[in-house]
Amino acid sequence: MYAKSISKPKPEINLSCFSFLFSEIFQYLSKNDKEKDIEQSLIDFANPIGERVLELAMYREKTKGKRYTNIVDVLHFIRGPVWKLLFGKMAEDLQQSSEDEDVYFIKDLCPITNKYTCTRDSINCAAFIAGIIEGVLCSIDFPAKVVPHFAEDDDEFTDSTLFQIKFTKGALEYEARYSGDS
Amino acid sequence: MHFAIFIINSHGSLVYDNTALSDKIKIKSNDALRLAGTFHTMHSISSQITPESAEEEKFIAGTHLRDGIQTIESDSFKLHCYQVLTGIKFLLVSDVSTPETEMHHMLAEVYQIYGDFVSKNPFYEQDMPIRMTKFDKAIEKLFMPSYY
Repeated sequence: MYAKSISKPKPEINLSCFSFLFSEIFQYLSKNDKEKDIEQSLIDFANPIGERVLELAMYREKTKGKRYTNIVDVLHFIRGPVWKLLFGKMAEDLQQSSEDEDVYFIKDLCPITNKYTCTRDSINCAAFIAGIIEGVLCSIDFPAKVVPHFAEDDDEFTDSTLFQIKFTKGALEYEARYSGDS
Repeated sequence: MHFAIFIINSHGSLVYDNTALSDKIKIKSNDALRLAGTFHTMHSISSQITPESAEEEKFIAGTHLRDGIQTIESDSFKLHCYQVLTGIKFLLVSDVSTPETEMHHMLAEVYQIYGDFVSKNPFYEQDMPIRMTKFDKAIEKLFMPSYY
């Protein structure tokens, strides 16, 4: 495995393996952090993964070592290369909230964490993915809070999830500081 | 034509039943539980009186799974049982004209759906009744493909 080149992406992990592992992670977390909300535990669990994903995604990008100083650029980076690296496809949609300037939405029609899971008490397993996004954003110096929501749709069995990304003040200041330079 | 599916866990309790494949069978849920228990017992008795033969025996983690009852045939229905290695039994009730191979095939498909939507679901507790919309949907899709 170490002999493989890390710059040549070959996304091949068995979906069943992932699902079983994820299921165990979920049960482990729900047993251990009883007082905490399960979605929050999933997000916290996935945060360090995001940091590593960022490292790899940056390395594989053509513009190696480029710093992102613009929120929209960062979001496109996540929607495109990061999503491709993780799931082998782009995220379906990226929107800015019409009400708040610092809130953005990324939409995925069927997150792999939701493929086999049935929801109960409206717990969204895609919180795991939200945690990864949060990890990426925090490591790239745009700290944000990411919350998964089920996309409202006519079909009640839908898996599609909106990741609500709310940037902190620090992120906005960071952008403002660098936007003059570039 | 298929009438009903039952899934019995390794301890003999009913974890899933679906008699809505057709409107021919009406059974109360309590009766279904009792029937599942009875079938489980009959099955284990029959597997114990099965004469030993070296090839047919399956040893899995110390348990001794022999096939026992595979089919029950009557004038009006056929019941096929598919026991998997973990001891879960999948039962399918169909009409007499249905070939054995088709029933077996259908149950194998049900097993696959079970593997996907039940085993991989973090909310599912082992040996508990299966109540999952996605599982129900997949079963419906398998048995009534014309609706989709």
